Amino acid sequence: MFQYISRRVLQFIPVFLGVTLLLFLTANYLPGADPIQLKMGEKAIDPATKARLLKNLGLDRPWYAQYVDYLSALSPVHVVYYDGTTPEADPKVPAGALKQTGTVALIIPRIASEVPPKGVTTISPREGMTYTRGEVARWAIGGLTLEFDPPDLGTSIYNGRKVLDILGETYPYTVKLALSAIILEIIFGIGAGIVSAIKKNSFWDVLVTLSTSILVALPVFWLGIMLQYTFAIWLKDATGGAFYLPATGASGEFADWVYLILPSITLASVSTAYAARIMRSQLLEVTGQDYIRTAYAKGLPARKVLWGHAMKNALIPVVTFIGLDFGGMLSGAILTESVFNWPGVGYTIFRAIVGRDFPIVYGGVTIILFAVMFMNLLVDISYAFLDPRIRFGGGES
Amino acid sequence: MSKDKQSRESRINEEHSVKDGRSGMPAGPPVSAELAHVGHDELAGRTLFGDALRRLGRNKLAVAALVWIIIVIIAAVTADLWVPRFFGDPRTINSVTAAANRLQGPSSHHLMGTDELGRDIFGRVVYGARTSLVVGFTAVAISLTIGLLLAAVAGFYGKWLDTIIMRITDIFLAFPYILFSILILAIVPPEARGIGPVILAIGLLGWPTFARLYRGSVLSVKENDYVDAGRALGASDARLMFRHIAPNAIAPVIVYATMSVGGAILTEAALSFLGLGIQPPAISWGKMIESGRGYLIVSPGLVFWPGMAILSTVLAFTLLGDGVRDAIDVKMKD
Amino acid sequence: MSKRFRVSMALAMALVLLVSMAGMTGCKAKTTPSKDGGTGAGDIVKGGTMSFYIGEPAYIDPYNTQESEGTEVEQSLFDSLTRVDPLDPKNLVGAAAESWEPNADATVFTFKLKAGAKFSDGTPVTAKDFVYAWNRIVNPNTINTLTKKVDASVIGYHLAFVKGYDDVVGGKATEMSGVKAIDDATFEVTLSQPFADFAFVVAHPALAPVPQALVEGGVDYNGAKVPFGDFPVGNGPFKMAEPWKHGQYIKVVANENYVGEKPYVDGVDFKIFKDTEAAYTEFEAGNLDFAPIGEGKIKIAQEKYGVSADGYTVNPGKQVVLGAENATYYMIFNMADKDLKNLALRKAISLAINRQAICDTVFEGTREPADNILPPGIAGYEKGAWEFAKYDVAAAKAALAEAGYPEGKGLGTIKLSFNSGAGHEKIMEIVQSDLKAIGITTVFDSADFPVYLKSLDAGKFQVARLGWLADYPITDNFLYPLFQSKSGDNKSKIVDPAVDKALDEARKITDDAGRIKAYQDINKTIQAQVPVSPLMFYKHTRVGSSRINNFVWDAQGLGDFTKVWISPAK
Repeated sequence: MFQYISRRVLQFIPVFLGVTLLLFLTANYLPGADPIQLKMGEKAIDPATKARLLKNLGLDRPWYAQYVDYLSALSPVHVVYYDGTTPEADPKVPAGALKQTGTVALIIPRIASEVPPKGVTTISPREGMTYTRGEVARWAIGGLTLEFDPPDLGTSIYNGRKVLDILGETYPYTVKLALSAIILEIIFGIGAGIVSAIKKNSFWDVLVTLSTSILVALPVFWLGIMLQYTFAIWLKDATGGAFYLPATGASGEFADWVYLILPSITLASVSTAYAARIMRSQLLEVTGQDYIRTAYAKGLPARKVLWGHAMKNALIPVVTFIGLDFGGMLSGAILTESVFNWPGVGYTIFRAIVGRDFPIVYGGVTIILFAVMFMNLLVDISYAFLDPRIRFGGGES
Repeated sequence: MSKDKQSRESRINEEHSVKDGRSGMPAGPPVSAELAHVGHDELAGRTLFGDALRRLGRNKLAVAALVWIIIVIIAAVTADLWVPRFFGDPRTINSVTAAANRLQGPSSHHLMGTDELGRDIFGRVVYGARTSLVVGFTAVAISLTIGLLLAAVAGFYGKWLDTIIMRITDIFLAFPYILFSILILAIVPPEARGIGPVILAIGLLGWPTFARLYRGSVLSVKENDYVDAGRALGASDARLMFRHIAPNAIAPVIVYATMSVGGAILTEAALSFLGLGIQPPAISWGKMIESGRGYLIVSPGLVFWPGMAILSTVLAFTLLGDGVRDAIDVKMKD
Repeated sequence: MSKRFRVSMALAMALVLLVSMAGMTGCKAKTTPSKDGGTGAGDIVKGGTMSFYIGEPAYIDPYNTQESEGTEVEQSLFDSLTRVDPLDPKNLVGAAAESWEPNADATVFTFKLKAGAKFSDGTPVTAKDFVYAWNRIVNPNTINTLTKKVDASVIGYHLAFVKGYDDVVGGKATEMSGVKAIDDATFEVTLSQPFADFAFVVAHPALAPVPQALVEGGVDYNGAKVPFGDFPVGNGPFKMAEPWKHGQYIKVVANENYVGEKPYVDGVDFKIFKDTEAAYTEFEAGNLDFAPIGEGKIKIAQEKYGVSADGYTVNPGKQVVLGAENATYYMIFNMADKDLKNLALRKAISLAINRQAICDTVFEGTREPADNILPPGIAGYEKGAWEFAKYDVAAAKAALAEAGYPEGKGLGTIKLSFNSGAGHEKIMEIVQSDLKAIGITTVFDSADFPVYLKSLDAGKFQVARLGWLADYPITDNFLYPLFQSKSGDNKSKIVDPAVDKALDEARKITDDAGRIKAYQDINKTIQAQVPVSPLMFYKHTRVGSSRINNFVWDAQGLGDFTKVWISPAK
């Protein structure tokens, strides 16, 4: 089991590097954008200020250097070599920061040429750029120093805030929405699938098949808008606008879950239809298999055969689907979020792409990748419990 | 044991495609294990193919879907001949009369009313069909071509080439689909913006699912006796690939491609809704919904009709795909 | 089955009922507007908290407040030296400064600070705090207190006329030689060139004093240190109640140490929304006192809430503010372009656009066709001063023929550039149809905002759109940046040495009437060359709740929270 998990985690590394590298490459080829200019909107910024800000953010460096910076900042551990010379005062270094004359050479080790005082230190590796060092801990081992810092995803170009803070504010909303949507999906998707499989070719079966077809063909954003229209405009007096209110603001008029109703229905719609279809076809396939027939032949009651034997096997692909779908939802739901002004991570990244706020794009995708990988791992592990035929670990094959 | 694992993994991989369905971007309905082994042999013989056609003809829903698709295609192709004459040209604005004509309800002259700039909504919906259909068909053609080529190579040669290609599909599938298409559209220089990049973005990101599906199918066809027989008779790799394996492995792909046209139309609508897809003055259903959103209270038709157009067209492709699958799947025939 | 179905239907119905009842409790009792509906003066009630819509600000630390959202909050926390009278923007009043005096050639300005002024933490405000704050804006190594990383300000340009600005920007010095604290109460500014309107420049909310100790050491809040950027401490009528809750709200309460007139309300809740539609919905639900009205809802809102008499003041029953802003929406022509260097062609395009139609359809009458680059609220405004900023198809066709393209023959396709996703598509579709009507074929060239701005900078456009909101409501702030040949905002690249010279000369005129006359003459010279085509004047489209009285939202988009008072709940 442990071996299996560690193998999966190791497999994640090339995917992670591949996706992020692709991202940096793509972003680097974006045509002449001027993200700094967004700070001033349509008013001109003088070129010197622009150049200075690019430098502050490290965006004046070639893309591969930025990629290395990104990986280095993400890493919580750094091996640093201090050669023992003391830094000299420099008017171009901001007050309170130490000048570092070495360069960031490799992803993990950073080479510095001065001895930092005990505790947290602010270092200025290049003119106009600073970062803190050793925030969590600093250990000296032999001639090297191990420094531990929280992972850093850089700062937003637009408002100079930490990307990690920005994502920290938005991600809980994404999780909340994903959780409530997945609950709807489990209840209605599996439920409808079971009903239509058991009552095959009945009115209910046709109803489920038809409505899943329609749900799959619905443009999600349109469904969201039409739900808003129905409940917030048409039935406004009956609902008191409860369904149409945005999630933020300090209104506090309604319990939090009220705000979740329409967005989670919207987000769950397509997946619920898929889940129902998979559930139905799996159940039909399983009930047609020999061991189920045998069970019936042995005289087991139908209810017991269905719930005890058939269901367990039929559920495996459904659980897979729902698990992976949940991973997908954790990547944010741009359309649902933008229709309902849901302050989730998908919409945040979308706005960042449109505004070319690259640090937020990089940081957001990083977090999404970790979330999706984690979900995929959970799904794989859940197999072990659902399907006794599958055992993890190497060796036996 | 290894067999179990194989099927489990392939199941995950196929289901993986559905993740693209997140954020309302279904590239098509889920590809279930059932679909992956749609009868290969069944399609081999001409008579069986005829059988399938006959079965499709008996499926009333599928026939209705096909009829609707044909109506939409004809309307879109001939729009220039009749729309401007009966409903006024929905592609231009008469600034002098716009204020008086805007936001009218349905009437005999404006079947679905007029929009906020005084243009006929029905006419715009008809012109919007052009965009959707062109994007739908061409994007799927691109995905299909890339996916089939890579999968054929991967599935046939196996080993390290297979591993590399499948790792690449992993990377593509790990990336949030819609975010990536947004990024791709953002790369496009302003002067090149238009329908082309939208098609490319959808097409370039759709191939991994086709590749996985087709690879699985090729692998299972490869196990068949007639392939071994062919090899024993000294057939070349290319001949085996293109004469024997490819045609037989294609059935599930056809089903999926039909449904994907609907998926591509949905994706285009979503991208245009977000403001990144089709740019005005070109007409797109998604963009119509976006720009009419503010008028939901005064004139809900601005949002309602383009949405219905998307729904009906995508539904038609889904139902047709369902019909094709049922028609060629002997297992489900009973 | 059917029985089970009925049960589940009943359950579903119950759920819907329950939810709608939960909604019902949110319905506020409708308050009727007060009978007089006037200014409410005389029966002023103290207390209560006003809630105000904003988008998430970029910065509320004055060193980098630039966009409207951050400025709105920041100006409630800080007082700059002067302030523009909210209802009479041509008039300046003292804020942190008691009085000010320029020297004869308008190069040295001396400000006397108000006696007894304090920051909200109780420390006195001195001239040194201005020196520190202004240098902090200009210094390229200024640290953002939120990240402790270098994050240079983008608003240094306000102080570009101050002596020593270039040295600080270039890293040769850390303090501008032109700003001096003569004593605690006297602040002296020396300019590198004459600028008679400088007292308007210092009215900008960002040029406020900041306490150095708190900026560098953090602010104490509940026993912990909070960065200044999340908890700015200022000398304004309000102070932060708690640190900025990013993405949710910023709460400010009345500052008991404020030296000026104290506000009637206890505080203001700036509620942060992602978009205006959502804010309007919250407003309708009774959870917001001041919100923007979205597209397509303006007519309904006017009928429902009544229109403010002067366009800026909200009182019960007269709640929709539609006053003109000091901002103009205009098309720019690239004068270096091979087609558009043709003056007659520029005239033809400018004359062909039906401005009224755009205002009536896209904006439902909440914008005004522009007949001048200067909006009516600016001192130098003259009606119809831009003679080609009108809709005249016959004249447009004649101009097109004069340009050498009768009915558009011989003219290639013209590119119309704009930023996508910001509502400009509809305007451009009307422009496109109007140009087509006189025979000019156009093609759209839209891009995301940062890309669009870059292409404007690089001069890669033919005809494009821009909006200009004055930083300070003076004529100079339109004509100098937009038409001075070296200005970064002169995107049409009009180069006219006579205009440049006249602009510099006008800045030296200390007599107000003479200066305004000089600017009006310059404006006439510029308009004859049609470097841009003004389309519309922006107007407010916001609405206040029926419980707020005498709330002024001025032409610069800044709310006066000191005069507003809240009717007690009935």
